[in-house]
Amino acid sequence: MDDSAHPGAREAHPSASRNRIEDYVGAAVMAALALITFGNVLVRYFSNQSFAWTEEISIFLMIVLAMVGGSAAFIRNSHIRIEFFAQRSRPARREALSRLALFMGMLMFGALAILSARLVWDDYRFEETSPAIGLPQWWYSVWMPILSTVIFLRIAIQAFRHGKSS
Amino acid sequence: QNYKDEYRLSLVVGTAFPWGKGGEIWADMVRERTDGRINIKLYPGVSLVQGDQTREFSAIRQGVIDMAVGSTINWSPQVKELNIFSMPFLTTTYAGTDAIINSEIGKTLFDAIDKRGVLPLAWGENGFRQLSNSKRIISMPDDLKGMKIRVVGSPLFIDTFTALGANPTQMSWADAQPALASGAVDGQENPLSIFIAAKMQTLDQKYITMWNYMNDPLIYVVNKDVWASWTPQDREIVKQAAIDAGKQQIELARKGLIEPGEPMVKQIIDSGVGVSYLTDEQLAAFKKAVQPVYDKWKKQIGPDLVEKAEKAVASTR
Amino acid sequence: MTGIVLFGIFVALMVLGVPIGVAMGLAATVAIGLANMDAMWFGLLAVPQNFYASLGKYPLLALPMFVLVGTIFERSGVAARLVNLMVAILGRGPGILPVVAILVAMMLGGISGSGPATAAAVGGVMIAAMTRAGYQPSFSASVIGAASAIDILIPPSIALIVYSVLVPGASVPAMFAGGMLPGIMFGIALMIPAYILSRRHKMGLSESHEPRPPLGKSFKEAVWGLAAPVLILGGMRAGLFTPTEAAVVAVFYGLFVGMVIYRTIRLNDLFSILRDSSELSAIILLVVGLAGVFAYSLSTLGIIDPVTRAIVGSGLGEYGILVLLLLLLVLVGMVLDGVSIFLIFVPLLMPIAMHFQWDLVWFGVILTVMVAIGQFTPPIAVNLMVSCRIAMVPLEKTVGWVMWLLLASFLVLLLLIVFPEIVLWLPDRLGY
Ligand code: NA
Ligand code: NA
Repeated sequence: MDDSAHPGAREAHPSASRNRIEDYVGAAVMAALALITFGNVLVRYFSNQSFAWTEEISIFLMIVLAMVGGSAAFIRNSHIRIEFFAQRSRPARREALSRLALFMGMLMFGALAILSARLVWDDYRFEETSPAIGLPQWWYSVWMPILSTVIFLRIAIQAFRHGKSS
Repeated sequence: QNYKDEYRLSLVVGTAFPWGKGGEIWADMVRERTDGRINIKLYPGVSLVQGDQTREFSAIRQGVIDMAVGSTINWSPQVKELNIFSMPFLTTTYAGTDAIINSEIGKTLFDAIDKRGVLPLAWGENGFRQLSNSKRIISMPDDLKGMKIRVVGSPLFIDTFTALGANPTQMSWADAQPALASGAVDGQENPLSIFIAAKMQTLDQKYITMWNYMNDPLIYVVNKDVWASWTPQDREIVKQAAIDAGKQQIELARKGLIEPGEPMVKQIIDSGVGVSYLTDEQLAAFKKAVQPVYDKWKKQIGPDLVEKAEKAVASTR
Repeated sequence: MTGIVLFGIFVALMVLGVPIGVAMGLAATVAIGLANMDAMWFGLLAVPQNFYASLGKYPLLALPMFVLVGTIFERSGVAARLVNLMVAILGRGPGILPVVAILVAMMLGGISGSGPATAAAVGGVMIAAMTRAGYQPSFSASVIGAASAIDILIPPSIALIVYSVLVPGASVPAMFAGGMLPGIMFGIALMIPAYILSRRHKMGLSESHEPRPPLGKSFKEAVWGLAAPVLILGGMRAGLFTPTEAAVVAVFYGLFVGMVIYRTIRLNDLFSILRDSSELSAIILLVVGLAGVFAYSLSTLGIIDPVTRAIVGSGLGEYGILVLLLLLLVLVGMVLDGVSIFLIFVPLLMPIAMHFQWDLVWFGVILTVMVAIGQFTPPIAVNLMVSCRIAMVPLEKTVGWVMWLLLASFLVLLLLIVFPEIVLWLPDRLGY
């Protein structure tokens, strides 16, 4: 669809109907973010307590949300893209373009997995701490290579299915 | 030798501030003294890590940033010893700050930075941090109750302001300005030079409390691989330039505050901001309120180091 | 040279249909590697550092929260009730239903943060009714496609949140206040040609004498939806909430309305609401993160300065450059959403805005209007696609109608450029 350049309408894809693990985690993280933020508002109004440390957790959860939901979006092929030209190509070329997109996605998240793993190693080795709570920074950052790998594998599975179905 | 066309120097604020000026002076000196072999471009706003100043130090070590003039506050998540300057009321005088930096503590801290993978060259100064807010004159800890104060850096700040009854919230400098303007936070703490250059009276900051609760030095640093890629002569030039620039920068940071009549304070009062000083009893009340935080962090930073700093400060009285 | 690599790879991948974020991230990764051949790991640790740092911003949390608000209100059936109320007030006379559609799109714009969802919601309720009343489907699709483009201008707006996160000094409340009046003007400007065209082509005659829905009952049902923008904007204005908090209060308010008042959302719908909004947020957030890597390579490659100098020194002058920008953004706005456009262009355009000392709130609103226009400009127009699909008409048939709507919106843009006070009056008044 041309309008898939837009984060908006959810398209019905053949494989989209089933819920995956990413869907459950994504929904849970979204709920947690809403509840923590709402809790912040309530606590601020009804007490003098400082709830500021939760902001560090919320930021972390938002990054998890981006990765987990991003993985789900690869399943449903709902990432923001320009399909105008692909749409107007012959089926064979369209097929090739769709493979290219999957391959590039694997490259990106594969690279991100390796590079962020190096970052986590640094956080661990130099005992870096988180700025608001003072927790070991790697507790947060270690999820970046893990979730990048999840996305990498998710795209790989998509590409494999794609190859079989064509 | 492989020299880059341009070296990336990270700063939190631009050249309108003494801090940014200190970076510019360094860059200009290095360019001149190396006959243009080493070209430095300034990146204010920590734009090389999307404005997140608490990531600056790691980014320098990892070669994402080549050089920086950074505050000890922003680097304390990586170098916990740097928290020493954020200990509330460790010293309230410039003589005290100088005594700490110029004693063996200064060397110990440079070693700590070096051990964490970044090469320190010279000291600068951001300045004594004063408390400003949009609500009321603050002369006792009670006046801070429930006030949302923006801080940056390490949990030490959260602890300090929580102990004072405030509601501290951590955000980068880039986020702080709109947050102040929209009233999402009530107050902030920064040196007066930052207050003036950022025109914080237009961000609804109406009251300043001169409490000198801490003074954060700046440190001139270089990425180690970049350092290694230069000839020994050029290294010497860069280092000497950092020391010279740091001296000039400290003078800039103190300008208007050490002269009689404190012209900078007068300028702020003239812009319509209420500036108040603490009496000895009021200061004692603040010190008492943060004493548990001081004791807790003394243990975390290293009692030996903190005691040495306390002695250095005591020697100036 | 590396600059050419950066843009070459980015544009090539994007045109070939690779997801925008991946295209930006990969192009930037290659460019960073090429520029730092001698550095440790080719300087590539900038990739995860900037990815993490661009996402790790508390104000950005407003984005997933407003996406959640939008999803909840979309499922709550508030659109149909707003339409009822408007028809009860204005009737169904010739030329009135398109005005109703535009009004309802504007009201929904005050709740939701992005256009296509509004196009779908309004289109779903209005297009069939308009066809029954004798409006040509291509006309209805044009009006709704254009009206839903206003969504990114009327607060809350995800595009404005992202602009604010990219531009220090332009706060979310200031951007929201800045978008308000232009959004309303945009809406009114669309109503005029919509009304005149319906009268001139004798559309909307068949149901013009149908009874109106009872006013009192329609109002009682719709008031819950009408209160949402008041809660969001009023709460922020009164300093009760930050934008993020306003969003989260609206989330719980929307759930209350949907589950208790309208009873359109059941307990098991909650999962799909959370799932869909988390995926939609993630789609945008991933682009935000990877665009941060792109921005890093852009600023360190040393291409921004010469490009800025070339543009500023081209002798086009301020207005010439704005016209050029308009052409560029309308063109890109056809194929891309506002958020992606801002992530690509704002780092490039900021130095130009600084050079001319343009007010950054005004500039952000102007850019948003340009993008909004692009979103219903044929031949490729993201919002128009949605409404055309609902109306089951080919997009080409809308051209004759859309022309007039475009003309009206260009006039609004012209006014905003000539009189920046229209944009800045409200933020000034509110003290942002
Ligand atoms: Na909106
Ligand atoms: Na901003």
